[in-house]
Amino acid sequence: MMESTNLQIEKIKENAFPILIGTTIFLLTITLFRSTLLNYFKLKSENDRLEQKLVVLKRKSQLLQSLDRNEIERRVKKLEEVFPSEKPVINLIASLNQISQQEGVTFRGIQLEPGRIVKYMSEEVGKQADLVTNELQDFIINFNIQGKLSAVTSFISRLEKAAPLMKIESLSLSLDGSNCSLAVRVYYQTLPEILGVLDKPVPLLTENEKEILNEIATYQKVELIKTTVPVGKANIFALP
Amino acid sequence: MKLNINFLKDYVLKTRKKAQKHFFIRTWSLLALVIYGVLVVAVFSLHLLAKKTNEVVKTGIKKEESLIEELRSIEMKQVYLTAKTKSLDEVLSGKKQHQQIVETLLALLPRGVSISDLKIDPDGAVSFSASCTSFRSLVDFFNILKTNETELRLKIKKADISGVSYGLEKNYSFDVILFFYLS
Repeated sequence: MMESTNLQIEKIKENAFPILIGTTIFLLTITLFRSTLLNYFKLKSENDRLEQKLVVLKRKSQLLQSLDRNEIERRVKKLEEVFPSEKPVINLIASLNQISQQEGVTFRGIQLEPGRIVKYMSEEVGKQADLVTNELQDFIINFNIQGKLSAVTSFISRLEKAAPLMKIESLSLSLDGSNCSLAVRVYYQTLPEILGVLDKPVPLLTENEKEILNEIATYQKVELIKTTVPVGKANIFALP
Repeated sequence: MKLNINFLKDYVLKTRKKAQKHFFIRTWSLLALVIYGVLVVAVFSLHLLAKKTNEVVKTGIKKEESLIEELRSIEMKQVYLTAKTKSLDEVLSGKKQHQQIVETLLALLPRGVSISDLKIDPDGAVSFSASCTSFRSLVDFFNILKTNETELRLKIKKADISGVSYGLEKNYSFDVILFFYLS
């Protein structure tokens, strides 16, 4: 009896080392190793994603730094003149008036429905009211020009390269060609308000788009009308 | 003659085998522990390295983001340019077509012919009502349409005249539909 107990103790003693090691490995695995390994894989996949993002951001910042600011400024200014973001009612009339004066024709009988001129933003930050859209918008202006036929023809020719952008929709010409009624469609487009996430790539102009911008650079500049009419009263308590 | 009797031979052999087995088990257990230890150290090192890389990349991203944020105005202008130029392309092609048609029409109209209600279809068909007081002007206009002068900005493909009438106001009125070869 005594001998068998001794044998059992002996056996346990002999296997104690591998059992201890096995237990250590098991315990370490479930407590530290497993969580560290899982964390490592999680971090690795996050790092891959972040590294990709960093590459995109670096490329974007390099691209933005390489862009010619002056050229962009100049193009934006010209584009805003020719193809404005707001309904160009005042500029349109100024432009037509300017061309008519230069061509020696009488410009009159303007009929237009400009609708809402100012765009309204929603009071909530980041949200826009329904009327602010990023789509191409237009309106029609009807007017008459009167003068010599050659001057009328010249006026119509100059509309091709006049700012803001307009397209002749309808035309009526009198017998002697001295009176011409025109319906012109004027285009404008609101600005894209939201740029999106930072790692969104910068859109670049294609060759065709560059050509278009070069083409509109030749369009006639509008002399802006500045209102200088004094409004209000300096001292409302002053006696008349 | 000397006789060697060993009663412990089997026991010694068994004990040696047992010792060898224990040695083998202990060695492999120890080796397994060492390998496991190396593995744990490697995983910990990799984890630390990944953590460090993560910090470095995050710092890099923050730096680039602040740089892009500074250049946001340029980006906005660039987005503005591309977005609007796309729409501008569509408008310009239609505008040029209308302009060419109107200029061609003005060039081919003889003196004494008035036009009204000119409408231009997207396919280039131009319809209008015309009137003139003299028969000469009417004939001149028809001749111009027939001869299709080459100096015109656009060449006439087809001309349809309909509803020619001589009214009480002593003028000739007619409806015209012109088709041009569009460039």
